[in-house]
Amino acid sequence: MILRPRAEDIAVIGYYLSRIILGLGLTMLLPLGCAFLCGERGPFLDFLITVEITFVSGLLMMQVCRAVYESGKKKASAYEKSIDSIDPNWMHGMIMVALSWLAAMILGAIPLWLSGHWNSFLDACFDSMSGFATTGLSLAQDLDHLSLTHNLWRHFTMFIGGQGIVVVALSFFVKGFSGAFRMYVGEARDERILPNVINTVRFIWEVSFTYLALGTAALWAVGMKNGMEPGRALFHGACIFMAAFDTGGFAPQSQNMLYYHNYGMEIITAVLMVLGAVNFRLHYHLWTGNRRELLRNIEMRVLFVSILVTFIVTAVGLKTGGSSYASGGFPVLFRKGFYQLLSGHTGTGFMTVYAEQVGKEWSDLALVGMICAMALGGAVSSTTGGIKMLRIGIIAEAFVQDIKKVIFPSRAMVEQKFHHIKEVFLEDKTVRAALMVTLAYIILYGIGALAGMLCGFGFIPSLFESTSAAANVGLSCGITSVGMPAALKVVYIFQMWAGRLEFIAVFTLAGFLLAAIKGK
Amino acid sequence: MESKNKIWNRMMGIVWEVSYALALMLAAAVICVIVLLVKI
Repeated sequence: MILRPRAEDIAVIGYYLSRIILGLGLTMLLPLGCAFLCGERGPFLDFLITVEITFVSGLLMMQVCRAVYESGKKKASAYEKSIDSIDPNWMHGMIMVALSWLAAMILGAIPLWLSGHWNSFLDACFDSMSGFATTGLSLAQDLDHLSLTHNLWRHFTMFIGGQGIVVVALSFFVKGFSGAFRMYVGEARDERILPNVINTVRFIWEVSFTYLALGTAALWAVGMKNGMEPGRALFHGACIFMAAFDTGGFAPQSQNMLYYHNYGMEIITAVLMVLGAVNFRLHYHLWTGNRRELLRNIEMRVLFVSILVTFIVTAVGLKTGGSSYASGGFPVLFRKGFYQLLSGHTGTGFMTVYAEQVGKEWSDLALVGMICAMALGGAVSSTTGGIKMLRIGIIAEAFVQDIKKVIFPSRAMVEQKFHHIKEVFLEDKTVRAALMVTLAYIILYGIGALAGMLCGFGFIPSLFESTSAAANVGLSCGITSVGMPAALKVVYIFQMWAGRLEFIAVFTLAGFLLAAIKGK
Repeated sequence: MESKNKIWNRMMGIVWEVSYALALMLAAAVICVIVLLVKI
């Protein structure tokens, strides 16, 4: 028998959700300040309206949930704690996370929609989810004339989403209780760097801000050397950094990275993309003197091999595909082919070619290489999406273990271990967990591909675009456009959301809704 | 002293991470040359 959720459960979820919404409202003060300083009156009003809506809805939800909880407390003496001191359980934490990402999408879309650069609120929601989930697919119209404030917000959503909306909220509003860890886990960050989740969050910010300073300075210098004005170069540098390190893929110009057509920019962003694909826990160990970990860690080894193998497939596909890449030689094949591949594998989505070019000029083999790279993704507890390197490494180790069991004498004890921060013995439950998430991703990629085919697109382009959305990559072969069917936009939004949260929070929300409908 | 050590460790950590990314690019460049040289 399924039990219907109690009003108190809903009140606790709503209460902490309201605190996350208030945390999100605080982040909107940055573009509001930018609009004020830049004298952009229209964008200032857009963000003023959004900040008001966010704070009013957050505070209203907080009061309603408090009142519901208090009324429940009067009926049942079991609820002696106040709502402020209650510790959310796993179900509360997971549902809060799933709903907070949907709330962020809707609230983050309001200023975009008000700008007039998005055809509909659905299109604005698409870009908002794409930003928070660090995907990079965009339905913006006339991006080259978008205000600085709105452009900053688009990239800032990637910075927030890359670190995690809950991580941001933990920094501001939700601290000092053990339920924080449950919310942190719900956001697909199952690895605690330090024993205390608040210290973990602080370290994530330390890494992000250190690279923000270094990356922005490097991109700023290259931008100025490339002939940009200092202020504009700084703005572009900061935006490109946020999109690169957080493996997002938005860019201030409609031509994406092709706009700059600069070796320096491409090398710096390539380095930043790789850094964004590194596990924050590994960052911690490297930054505290354990540098050998870089060479021994299973994720970094698998990432290295995986990028090179998928690049071989893509390069062969480009060479034999009869496109301009075949005759362009090393500069074209490496610069265009490897950059796109690295961008796809790390889940960034920066493009130095046109989307239509990928769809029309790239051979099926090259696209399959790219699809594999996008599907695999970067490291766990990083800013990337996709299946992730740790899971691929675990599954590979499980294969090796099974082969050893067949080859070795039946009496031999076969124990497989791998190195991830420490030596870890391979257990069945670890393999099962890795396979479950991998299977869920493959199904998600398939759902999007099927949706694309139902809308009239071919199999390979549909799979390419679907994988790009679900693995939070952002590369496009031309399907993502303002004119695509609304149903496909909704499917891609769902894929971006479910892919970013790695399913558990989404499944918990689905179970909760089912219990609310069918429960007794 | 402890603070100096902390900054040094962070700097070296960044150097190693960036080196990993550059090594990856170098390996890809070698693969690219091989793919171009081999007749397929």
